[in-house]
Amino acid sequence: MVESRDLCIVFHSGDFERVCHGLTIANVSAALGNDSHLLFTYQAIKRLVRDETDRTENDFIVKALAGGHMKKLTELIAMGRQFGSVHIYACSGSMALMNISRDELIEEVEKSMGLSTFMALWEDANVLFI
Amino acid sequence: MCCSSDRTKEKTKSHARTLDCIGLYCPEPLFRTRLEMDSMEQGGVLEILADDPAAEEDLASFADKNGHRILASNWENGILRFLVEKSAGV
Repeated sequence: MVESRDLCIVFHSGDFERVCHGLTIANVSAALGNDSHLLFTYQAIKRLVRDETDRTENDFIVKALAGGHMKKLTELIAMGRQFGSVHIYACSGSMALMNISRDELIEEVEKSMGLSTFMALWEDANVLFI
Repeated sequence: MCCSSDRTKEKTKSHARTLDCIGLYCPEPLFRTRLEMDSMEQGGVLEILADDPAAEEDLASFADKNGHRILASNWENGILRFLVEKSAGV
């Protein structure tokens, strides 16, 4: 069995394609047997607001979703939950900045978290900023 | 008594599942393989059919990282047939 590292991703952008690709990378790493820790910050945190996760007005994405060439963000989040090793956190500072409360967020968010706590998770992990 | 070998064959067959990933591209074959393997017992055998050129390396990497045993991996007429046995403790 090959040793591999856990993955930490800081989601900054709320752009659908960036979040989609970040969640896909997180799920691939989880499928391979690693833990994926995802911290949503700034504009990305709006993707965790209930009923806002899949919102897009981009024609390319709308067509790709309709054709089954791209997965909805809610589908990717559900898949990560099924794998059992994808952990979603909301940055507490960004929640305050965006005036978003915990009860507005989807249930898959495990907890709100500060940066220093998140940074402790990445000591032995690969880190991506999206 | 005369049919014991047939019964053995039947048992082996019933323990093999097939996952059709033809027409699906990275990372979908990996995702579907992982979900299918999660629902299987240890020692269960899964046959995966795929035509994504990346599938062979991706599935081998998945099996390697999780300690699953690759029983076969070959291409025929543009279709990959990947046979993997689920390991213990996964």
